[in-house]
Amino acid sequence: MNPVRALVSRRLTKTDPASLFWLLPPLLAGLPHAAHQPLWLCLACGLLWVWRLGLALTGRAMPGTWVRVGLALAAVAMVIAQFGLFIGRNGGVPLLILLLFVKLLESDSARHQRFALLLAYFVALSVFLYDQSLPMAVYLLAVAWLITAGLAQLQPLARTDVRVQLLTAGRLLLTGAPLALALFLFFPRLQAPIWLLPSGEQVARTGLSDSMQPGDISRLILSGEIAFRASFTGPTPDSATLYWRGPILSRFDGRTWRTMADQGELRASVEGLGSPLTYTLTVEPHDRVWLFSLGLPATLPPGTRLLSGMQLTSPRPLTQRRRFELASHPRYRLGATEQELREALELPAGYNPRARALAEDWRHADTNPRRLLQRGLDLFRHDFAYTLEPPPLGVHSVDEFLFTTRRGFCEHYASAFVFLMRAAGVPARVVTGYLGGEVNPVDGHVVVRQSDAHAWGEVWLPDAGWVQADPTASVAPTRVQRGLTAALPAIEVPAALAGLHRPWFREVRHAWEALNNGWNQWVLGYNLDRQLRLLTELSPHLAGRAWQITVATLLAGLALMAWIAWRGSTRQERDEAAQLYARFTARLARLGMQRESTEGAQAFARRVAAARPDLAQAVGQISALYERARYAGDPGALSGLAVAMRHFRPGRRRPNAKAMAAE
Amino acid sequence: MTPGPAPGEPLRPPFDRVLTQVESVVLGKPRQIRLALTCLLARGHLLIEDLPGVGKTTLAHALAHALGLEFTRIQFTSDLLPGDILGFSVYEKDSGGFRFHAGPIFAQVVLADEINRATPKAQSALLEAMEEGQVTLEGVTRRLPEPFFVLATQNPYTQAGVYPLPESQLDRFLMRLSLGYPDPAAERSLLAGKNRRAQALAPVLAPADLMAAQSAVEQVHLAPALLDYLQALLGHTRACGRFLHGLSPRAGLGVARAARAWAWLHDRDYVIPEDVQAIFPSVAGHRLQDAEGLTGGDAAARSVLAAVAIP
Repeated sequence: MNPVRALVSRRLTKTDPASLFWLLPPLLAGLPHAAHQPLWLCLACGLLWVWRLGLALTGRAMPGTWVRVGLALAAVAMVIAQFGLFIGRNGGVPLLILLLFVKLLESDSARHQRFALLLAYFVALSVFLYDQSLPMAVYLLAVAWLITAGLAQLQPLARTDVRVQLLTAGRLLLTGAPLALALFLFFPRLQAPIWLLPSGEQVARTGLSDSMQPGDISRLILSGEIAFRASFTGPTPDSATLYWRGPILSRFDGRTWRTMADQGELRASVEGLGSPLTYTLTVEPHDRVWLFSLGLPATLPPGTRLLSGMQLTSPRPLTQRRRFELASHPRYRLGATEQELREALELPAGYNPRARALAEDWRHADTNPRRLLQRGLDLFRHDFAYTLEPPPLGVHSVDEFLFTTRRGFCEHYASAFVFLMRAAGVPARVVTGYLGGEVNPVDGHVVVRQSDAHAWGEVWLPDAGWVQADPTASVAPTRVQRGLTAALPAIEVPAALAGLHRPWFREVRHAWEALNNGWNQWVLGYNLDRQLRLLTELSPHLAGRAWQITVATLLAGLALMAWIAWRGSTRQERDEAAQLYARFTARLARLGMQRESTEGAQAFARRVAAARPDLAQAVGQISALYERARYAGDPGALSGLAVAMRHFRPGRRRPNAKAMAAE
Repeated sequence: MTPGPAPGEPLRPPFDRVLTQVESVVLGKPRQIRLALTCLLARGHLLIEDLPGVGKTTLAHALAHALGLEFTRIQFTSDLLPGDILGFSVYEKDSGGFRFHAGPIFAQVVLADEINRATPKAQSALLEAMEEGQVTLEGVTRRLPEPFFVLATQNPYTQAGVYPLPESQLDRFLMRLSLGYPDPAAERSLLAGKNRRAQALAPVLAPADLMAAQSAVEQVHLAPALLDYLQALLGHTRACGRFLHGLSPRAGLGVARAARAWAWLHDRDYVIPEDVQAIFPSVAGHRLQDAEGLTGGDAAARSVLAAVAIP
């Protein structure tokens, strides 16, 4: 066959698929970014990739320099146009991704392809700036494996078979795993995860807010998202008693309840009763300061404050998942300040006249606050319905709810109840938080979701202090005892929640959530605190020595690598002549005369002699002795070489290395 | 820099005089002459691939005369028959029996000119004789003379009317060389000088001396370190994925044999990596085919040398 035609037809038909393997990992590394980057960027990267694949399949040449430079500049311009200057992840990551895909178009040699794969590592890593979940970590680990296999395949002398290289890469990753684990455990943790770089964007998160009006909580409970997890040291208490205390709302303007005016430290007297419960709280980020405790915190976790109204808060908004170790008394006696009590009696003038009239009637009949409280609770026992879809309420929301619609959700009941109490002269306020939670049988944690959000009342009794009173328990006792989905009419259970409670799904979900929780706790939540604790557990003296341990680990790792390298090299250079010659070339290399690995001793000697005639004689002699010792098996030459090497101390007398390099 | 042999290293006597003699006729090609001598000393056959008129025949002539060997020439054409190469039996009235007329192959140096212009049938007759060192005709086996050295020439594939040698037959040649155009100085003295005739060369040594030299070559020392290098080179051609097939073990033996001969010719009793680098392109070039479909040639072999470190 005509050789030219043979060339063409082979090009078209014989593209070995294994030789295209390196194109796969960059695509997979870029793929998860599609969820976070603009559409044009995804399309651009996809097009660039398909273009590169097409070039490879048809055997055509890469685009010219100007095309590539143009593409790179266009990429920079587009990213600046969309994101501004690249500070933080928002501009930097898209730029990195785009340049990786432009880089593919110049990768026609193994050197470029290796570079592209190294970039792909970074692109894969940058996914963690957006998503640190367990499935993503598993996916990215697989991508790292493929990248490593690609790199292995691109090594000179490597076999092209992808399966072989996957095995190689797997071995490499496993070899590196112990060092990675040691670094993870012992390398001093930064106080904040690195992905908290300023991102320039705020994610809207669901959760309780600092105000409440009708409909707020019934909207919130539509979300099945997890609010926090708790794990108890002792037995888990009955979920009906788990009132997780959140923001206290005391100011009322006729429609909206707002937080107490006094947001200072708790000044009222407080006393815990009975033995405290100890538990760990892992709070999901909700961008607010409050935390959730069961009753009175016995000790305050470091960095938290107890505000007036017995409201546990963190000094900074929770923008990342955090763990708190808590002990709290479910039973307590909480006093009040004058200001609090005044605030707990205030009612806006001109609203809800009928409710006020009703409460006035009660007060005229009986002024005992305890009996008034009971009367308020009893009111809801009959003729009221617990529903997620209450009719809309007008200006006099409490009146309309109490006397007309009589259908509502916990915020309606809490709001109406507190209003009645205040009108009857009993100080009262609204407490929001979560009620109950679900015990995950896999790891025993109590999982509290947004759908467990709740609002209840708190009433001041002169002889007992602030007392918790939940009107919802009167209208729908099952809400308190068995949770929301049991209390609502079946038809009203939100779809998102109904799915959560199907039996088969529940088991899968439990296992999955326990796994995720483990990941969050032990991997993502592995912070400086936990690291120090781990070190303390290993040995009480280690904790202060995190740095020493790190350095020791690193040194041990380096020593191990050096040993492996040394062993590898001695396998090749076990003969003495080669070692002496290696010393010889090393001495010359320090003078700028580097022996090429493919260069024979004579050729190298000629090159050195041309650059440094003053060394010509010694170099010629040593090279000849080396040759005889190594390739003629001449023992006399070997001892001669050893002697000659002892006297070979070339100096920088004539720095003429430039002339040599030019040769 | 590309790895390569030392220029102008003196040869072992009396081959230095052979070189001088041949160089006086084939101008400006000392490297190719050294390689051709190496091939002869390694008991290999030589294929010269080049354009007509660059001195292939002159080289063959000069070598044969300088070494005092008997020389024949077979011009390969498309109608050449095996009998024209090997010989045939003729009935003789006088003796009443058949007498064998030996063909041109029964000589010490055979120049097979333009081998790829003959049909595969004629080609294979020559190539079998080369391999076996003997010719079997009509049930009678006749040994070829010793030393026996075939120097074949072929035109580049791109010329009209050629039957390319298949890989298996290319493999019969230890080396492939191309002469190329002479450099300007050599060409000038060629144009200015009188007609140089190879026949005028005085033989430098006797056939027995050459055979002794061939035996001596086999005694040249191959150190373990050098075997490492050879294996690295062979391994690279098999693993790098650039070639259709890596070098065969037979090719490896050829490299070793040629490296020994080159070392011996340059007055050394042991092989050094430079010897391998000197002969490798000629020995491996015609055995390596680029995966892209072109015969790899010297450039491919040089790229192997440039990629494999000397252990």
